[in-house]
Amino acid sequence: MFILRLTVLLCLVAACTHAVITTEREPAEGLEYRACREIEEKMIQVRAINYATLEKNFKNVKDNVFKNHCASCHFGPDAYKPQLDDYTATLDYVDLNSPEQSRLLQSVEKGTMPPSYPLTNRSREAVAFLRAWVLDGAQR
Amino acid sequence: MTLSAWAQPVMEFKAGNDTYVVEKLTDGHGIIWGVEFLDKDLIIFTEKTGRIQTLDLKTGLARLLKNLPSVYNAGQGGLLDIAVHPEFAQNSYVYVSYAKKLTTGGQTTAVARARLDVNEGRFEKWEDIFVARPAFSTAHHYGSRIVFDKAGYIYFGVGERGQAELSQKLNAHNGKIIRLFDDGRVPQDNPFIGTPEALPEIWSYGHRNPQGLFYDKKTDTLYEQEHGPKGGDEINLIVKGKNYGWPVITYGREYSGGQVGRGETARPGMEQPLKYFVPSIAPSSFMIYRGNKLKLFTDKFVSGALALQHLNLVAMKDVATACEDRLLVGLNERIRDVKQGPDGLVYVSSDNGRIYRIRAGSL
Repeated sequence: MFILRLTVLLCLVAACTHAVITTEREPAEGLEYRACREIEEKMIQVRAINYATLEKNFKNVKDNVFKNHCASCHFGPDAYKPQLDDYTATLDYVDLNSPEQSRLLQSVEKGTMPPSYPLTNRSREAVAFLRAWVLDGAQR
Repeated sequence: MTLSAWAQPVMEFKAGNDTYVVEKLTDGHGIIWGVEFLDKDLIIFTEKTGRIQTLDLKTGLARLLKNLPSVYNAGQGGLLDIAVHPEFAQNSYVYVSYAKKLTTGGQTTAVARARLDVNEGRFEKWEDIFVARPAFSTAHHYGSRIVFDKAGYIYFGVGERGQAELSQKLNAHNGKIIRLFDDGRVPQDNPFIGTPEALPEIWSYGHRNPQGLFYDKKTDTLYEQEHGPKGGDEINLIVKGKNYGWPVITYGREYSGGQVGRGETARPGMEQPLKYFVPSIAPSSFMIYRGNKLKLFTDKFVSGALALQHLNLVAMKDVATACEDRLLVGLNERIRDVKQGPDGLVYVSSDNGRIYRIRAGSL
């Protein structure tokens, strides 16, 4: 019976540093089987987007928030409204006079959107960045 | 090999002297039950909740399709497998299996098809080509996987919906493999045509919950994989009209630990599995990898495992006693579907709403 070896790599998107954390664990109950060979798995952790360093503009919102969480329904001319890869179309859902009341912000912060999965800590950072962009005047 | 800049490496694994990379292609969806290819650069996939999306392998962008079928999403039911007609380029047909709630009461496994306008991202009208009967109020064991053979017949599995005794009865679709023409008509060479009270759609019977089905073009052979109870998951070679034994013979036990029926594992007139798993891995999907891009996978049965959360590889040769490779353990995800892509790589979906791709090489 092999002990499963899991190694975590730290990967900075393009350049990776190897073998930072190695853990070993015994097989869980019920894993009785005859393994052909030892399989050594190395997990790679991808550095999260650092929103603090991102300029608050539409391109960064589109590429980091909308693309990761909204694109399947809201990108492209045939998509459900609002078309979030289009600045002008997106602005229709932003109230520059009362940004807190913007439909774009409210639908996300009230949990209406995205419809099918709960927010994680990483996606909460995305929502915070979206909020900051809207409150800052939703600059192009 | 084309590497996509947007694909995110999440794991590297070594098997002997060979190294493989697992890339995440999309994330943030519901349970991705079925994955298929519309062409070499375009995946189509189902979410159990009822959504169907495409994933563009050139850009990494997913796109929600419109005019989706209405499904009953509860328990193990929902929108299930997806298959693309072998002549999709000519007829645009896409098939899904799903849990259907009947106005007459209960829910059941159904298979529907619709034409897809890829450019518009919209399905035309859905039509059921099959609705299993009888229906039940239970919400588990729907079966679901759909395949076509080289002659164009469509096959899919229907689970026994928790009614084990129906697997042995030919007047119910439950616990059966079904064979039809692509429009739902019944081929007149199906094995139980003319058998009194038998349903003519049945191709084989005595199954529990078939959630793996694979047509091997290389050998013109249909293989099936099904969930056993506590232990007793099976890989079967499916032959026209044969009885695969559930619940009369099985290598599993009741969830309580007691024997199933009389505790028999063999009986004349009932087929033995090519392989059984004790304890259960809880197989979700199944294929034979016939490519050469991933040497570790070649000519092996490849199964997604739910309960034991891995990708299971076992050689076809002497499969009953063959050793296994258990991959992707570190993902800690329930593997839901596995497919060989037109590019010869392996694509895997999970209940965490992700699709992964396995390629040879290192980071």
